[in-house]
Amino acid sequence: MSDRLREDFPIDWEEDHFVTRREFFKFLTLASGGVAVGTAALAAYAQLPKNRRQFQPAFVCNVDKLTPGSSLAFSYPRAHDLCLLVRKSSGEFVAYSRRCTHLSCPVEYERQNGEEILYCPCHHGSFSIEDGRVLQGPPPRPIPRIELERREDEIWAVGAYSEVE
Amino acid sequence: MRTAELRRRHQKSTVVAALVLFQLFLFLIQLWLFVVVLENALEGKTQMLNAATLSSIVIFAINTWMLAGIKRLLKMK
Repeated sequence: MSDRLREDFPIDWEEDHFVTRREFFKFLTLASGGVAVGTAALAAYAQLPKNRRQFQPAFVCNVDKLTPGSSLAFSYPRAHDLCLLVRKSSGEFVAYSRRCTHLSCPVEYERQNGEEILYCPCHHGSFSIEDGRVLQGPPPRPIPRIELERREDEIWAVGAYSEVE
Repeated sequence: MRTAELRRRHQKSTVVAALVLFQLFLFLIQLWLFVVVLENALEGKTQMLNAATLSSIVIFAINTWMLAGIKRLLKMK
Protein backbone atom coordinates (compact mmCIF):
# COMPACT_ATOMS: atom_id res chain seq x y z
CA MET A 1 0.00 0.00 0.00
CA SER A 2 2.75 2.44 0.94
CA ASP A 3 4.74 1.51 -2.21
CA ARG A 4 1.70 2.32 -4.28
CA LEU A 5 1.36 5.62 -2.45
CA ARG A 6 5.01 6.45 -3.18
CA GLU A 7 4.48 5.72 -6.84
CA ASP A 8 1.35 7.85 -7.00
CA PHE A 9 2.85 10.77 -5.10
CA PRO A 10 6.59 10.73 -5.76
CA ILE A 11 8.66 13.20 -3.71
CA ASP A 12 12.27 13.94 -4.48
CA TRP A 13 13.46 14.86 -0.99
CA GLU A 14 16.81 16.19 -2.13
CA GLU A 15 15.14 18.51 -4.59
CA ASP A 16 12.46 19.40 -2.08
CA HIS A 17 14.98 20.44 0.58
CA PHE A 18 17.14 22.42 -1.81
CA VAL A 19 16.72 26.17 -1.31
CA THR A 20 18.05 28.40 -4.06
CA ARG A 21 19.60 31.79 -3.33
CA ARG A 22 16.69 33.43 -5.08
CA GLU A 23 14.18 31.60 -2.84
CA PHE A 24 16.16 32.57 0.24
CA PHE A 25 16.23 36.19 -0.96
CA LYS A 26 12.46 36.07 -1.53
CA PHE A 27 11.90 34.67 1.94
CA LEU A 28 14.03 37.40 3.53
CA THR A 29 12.16 40.08 1.56
CA LEU A 30 8.82 38.67 2.69
CA ALA A 31 10.01 38.52 6.30
CA SER A 32 11.25 42.10 5.97
CA GLY A 33 7.79 43.13 4.71
CA GLY A 34 6.23 41.36 7.68
CA VAL A 35 8.42 43.23 10.15
CA ALA A 36 7.65 46.55 8.38
CA VAL A 37 3.90 45.84 8.60
CA GLY A 38 4.27 44.85 12.27
CA THR A 39 6.09 48.08 13.11
CA ALA A 40 3.48 50.13 11.22
CA ALA A 41 0.67 48.29 13.03
CA LEU A 42 2.34 49.04 16.37
CA ALA A 43 2.58 52.73 15.44
CA ALA A 44 -1.09 52.76 14.36
CA TYR A 45 -2.16 51.04 17.59
CA ALA A 46 -0.25 53.62 19.65
CA GLN A 47 -2.22 56.41 17.92
CA LEU A 48 -5.59 54.97 18.99
CA PRO A 49 -7.37 57.00 21.65
CA LYS A 50 -7.29 54.55 24.55
CA ASN A 51 -6.36 56.89 27.32
CA ARG A 52 -9.70 56.98 29.07
CA ARG A 53 -11.75 53.88 29.74
CA GLN A 54 -15.34 54.08 30.83
CA PHE A 55 -16.68 51.64 33.39
CA GLN A 56 -19.86 51.24 35.37
CA PRO A 57 -19.91 53.80 38.23
CA ALA A 58 -19.27 52.25 41.63
CA PHE A 59 -19.84 53.63 45.12
CA VAL A 60 -16.57 54.00 47.06
CA CYS A 61 -17.38 55.62 50.39
CA ASN A 62 -19.05 58.53 52.16
CA VAL A 63 -17.17 61.81 52.22
CA ASP A 64 -16.94 61.92 56.02
CA LYS A 65 -15.34 58.49 56.23
CA LEU A 66 -11.93 59.91 55.29
CA THR A 67 -10.24 62.73 57.15
CA PRO A 68 -7.78 64.94 55.21
CA GLY A 69 -4.39 63.22 54.88
CA SER A 70 -5.75 59.64 54.92
CA SER A 71 -6.47 56.90 52.41
CA LEU A 72 -8.80 54.00 51.78
CA ALA A 73 -8.29 50.86 49.68
CA PHE A 74 -11.10 49.78 47.37
CA SER A 75 -11.64 47.70 44.23
CA TYR A 76 -12.59 49.16 40.86
CA PRO A 77 -13.84 48.28 38.25
CA ARG A 78 -13.43 44.55 38.99
CA ALA A 79 -13.07 42.90 42.38
CA HIS A 80 -9.38 42.16 41.82
CA ASP A 81 -8.46 45.66 40.53
CA LEU A 82 -7.09 47.22 43.69
CA CYS A 83 -7.28 51.00 44.01
CA LEU A 84 -6.48 53.63 46.60
CA LEU A 85 -8.70 56.59 47.44
CA VAL A 86 -6.75 59.45 48.98
CA ARG A 87 -8.06 62.55 50.68
CA LYS A 88 -5.24 65.02 50.33
CA SER A 89 -4.33 67.47 53.08
CA SER A 90 -6.19 70.10 51.11
CA GLY A 91 -9.38 68.02 51.42
CA GLU A 92 -9.48 67.09 47.72
CA PHE A 93 -10.22 63.45 46.77
CA VAL A 94 -8.07 61.57 44.26
CA ALA A 95 -7.85 57.86 43.43
CA TYR A 96 -5.27 55.71 41.69
CA SER A 97 -4.71 52.09 40.89
CA ARG A 98 -2.92 50.46 43.79
CA ARG A 99 -0.66 48.35 41.60
CA CYS A 100 2.82 49.72 41.07
CA THR A 101 3.60 49.79 37.34
CA HIS A 102 6.96 48.16 38.06
CA LEU A 103 6.11 44.74 39.56
CA SER A 104 2.52 45.25 40.76
CA CYS A 105 3.31 45.69 44.46
CA PRO A 106 0.60 47.63 46.33
CA VAL A 107 1.44 51.32 46.70
CA GLU A 108 0.75 53.31 49.89
CA TYR A 109 -0.20 56.91 50.50
CA GLU A 110 2.64 58.63 52.38
CA ARG A 111 3.96 62.03 53.27
CA GLN A 112 7.71 62.41 52.82
CA ASN A 113 9.40 65.72 53.62
CA GLY A 114 6.04 67.45 53.56
CA GLU A 115 5.21 66.11 50.09
CA GLU A 116 2.27 63.78 49.51
CA ILE A 117 3.15 60.78 47.35
CA LEU A 118 2.14 57.25 46.47
CA TYR A 119 5.00 55.06 47.65
CA CYS A 120 5.89 51.53 46.62
CA PRO A 121 7.82 49.83 49.46
CA CYS A 122 9.10 46.95 47.29
CA HIS A 123 11.68 48.93 45.28
CA HIS A 124 11.22 52.46 46.65
CA GLY A 125 9.35 53.79 43.65
CA SER A 126 7.09 56.79 44.12
CA PHE A 127 4.35 58.53 42.15
CA SER A 128 2.99 62.05 42.29
CA ILE A 129 -0.33 62.38 44.10
CA GLU A 130 -1.25 65.20 41.69
CA ASP A 131 -1.27 63.25 38.41
CA GLY A 132 0.31 59.84 39.04
CA ARG A 133 3.59 60.51 37.22
CA VAL A 134 6.73 58.69 38.33
CA LEU A 135 8.80 60.72 40.78
CA GLN A 136 11.55 58.21 41.50
CA GLY A 137 12.52 54.57 41.33
CA PRO A 138 12.11 51.83 38.74
CA PRO A 139 8.42 52.16 37.69
CA PRO A 140 8.40 52.58 33.90
CA ARG A 141 4.95 54.19 33.56
CA PRO A 142 2.70 56.56 35.49
CA ILE A 143 0.19 54.90 37.78
CA PRO A 144 -3.35 54.79 36.27
CA ARG A 145 -5.73 57.35 37.71
CA ILE A 146 -9.33 56.58 38.68
CA GLU A 147 -11.89 59.20 37.77
CA LEU A 148 -14.06 60.19 40.73
CA GLU A 149 -17.40 61.91 41.02
CA ARG A 150 -18.94 63.44 44.11
CA ARG A 151 -22.65 62.73 44.45
CA GLU A 152 -23.87 64.73 47.45
CA ASP A 153 -22.06 63.08 50.40
CA GLU A 154 -20.81 60.10 48.47
CA ILE A 155 -17.68 59.43 46.42
CA TRP A 156 -18.17 57.35 43.27
CA ALA A 157 -15.61 55.89 40.89
CA VAL A 158 -16.75 56.46 37.29
CA GLY A 159 -13.79 55.72 34.98
CA ALA A 160 -10.07 55.15 34.65
CA TYR A 161 -7.22 56.92 32.86
CA SER A 162 -4.32 54.72 31.81
CA GLU A 163 -1.88 57.59 31.17
CA VAL A 164 -1.06 61.05 32.43
CA GLU A 165 -2.82 63.66 30.30
CA MET B 1 34.64 32.19 -24.83
CA ARG B 2 34.09 29.38 -22.39
CA THR B 3 36.44 31.02 -19.85
CA ALA B 4 34.68 34.36 -20.26
CA GLU B 5 31.33 32.75 -19.54
CA LEU B 6 32.73 30.96 -16.51
CA ARG B 7 34.16 34.20 -15.18
CA ARG B 8 30.82 35.93 -15.73
CA ARG B 9 29.08 33.19 -13.75
CA HIS B 10 31.61 33.50 -10.93
CA GLN B 11 31.12 37.24 -10.94
CA LYS B 12 27.34 36.83 -10.77
CA SER B 13 27.72 34.41 -7.93
CA THR B 14 29.86 36.86 -5.96
CA VAL B 15 27.40 39.70 -6.53
CA VAL B 16 24.45 37.55 -5.46
CA ALA B 17 26.26 36.35 -2.33
CA ALA B 18 27.12 39.96 -1.42
CA LEU B 19 23.51 41.06 -1.94
CA VAL B 20 22.19 38.18 0.18
CA LEU B 21 24.59 39.09 3.00
CA PHE B 22 23.66 42.75 2.76
CA GLN B 23 19.95 41.89 2.84
CA LEU B 24 20.48 39.67 5.87
CA PHE B 25 22.28 42.54 7.59
CA LEU B 26 19.42 44.96 6.78
CA PHE B 27 16.85 42.43 7.99
CA LEU B 28 18.65 41.98 11.31
CA ILE B 29 18.73 45.76 11.78
CA GLN B 30 15.01 45.89 11.01
CA LEU B 31 14.29 43.12 13.52
CA TRP B 32 16.38 44.83 16.21
CA LEU B 33 14.53 48.10 15.54
CA PHE B 34 11.16 46.35 15.92
CA VAL B 35 12.16 44.73 19.23
CA VAL B 36 13.43 48.05 20.61
CA VAL B 37 10.27 50.00 19.70
CA LEU B 38 8.07 47.17 21.00
CA GLU B 39 9.87 47.23 24.36
CA ASN B 40 9.56 51.01 24.49
CA ALA B 41 5.89 50.93 23.50
CA LEU B 42 5.18 48.48 26.31
CA GLU B 43 6.82 50.95 28.68
CA GLY B 44 4.57 53.70 27.33
CA LYS B 45 7.28 55.49 25.31
CA THR B 46 5.98 55.95 21.78
CA GLN B 47 8.15 58.83 20.51
CA MET B 48 10.33 56.53 18.40
CA LEU B 49 7.49 54.66 16.72
CA ASN B 50 6.96 56.84 13.65
CA ALA B 51 10.68 57.12 12.86
CA ALA B 52 11.09 53.35 13.32
CA THR B 53 8.13 52.65 11.02
CA LEU B 54 9.57 54.91 8.34
CA SER B 55 13.00 53.23 8.63
CA SER B 56 11.43 49.78 8.49
CA ILE B 57 9.46 50.66 5.34
CA VAL B 58 12.60 52.11 3.71
CA ILE B 59 14.53 48.89 4.51
CA PHE B 60 11.69 46.83 3.04
CA ALA B 61 11.75 48.98 -0.11
CA ILE B 62 15.52 48.49 -0.44
CA ASN B 63 15.08 44.73 -0.01
CA THR B 64 12.35 44.61 -2.67
CA TRP B 65 14.49 46.67 -5.04
CA MET B 66 17.43 44.30 -4.48
CA LEU B 67 15.18 41.27 -5.08
CA ALA B 68 14.13 42.75 -8.43
CA GLY B 69 17.79 43.42 -9.20
CA ILE B 70 18.76 39.81 -8.40
CA LYS B 71 15.97 38.52 -10.64
CA ARG B 72 17.26 40.70 -13.49
CA LEU B 73 20.83 39.62 -12.82
CA LEU B 74 20.01 35.91 -12.85
CA LYS B 75 18.06 36.26 -16.09
CA MET B 76 21.04 37.89 -17.82
CA LYS B 77 23.21 35.61 -19.92
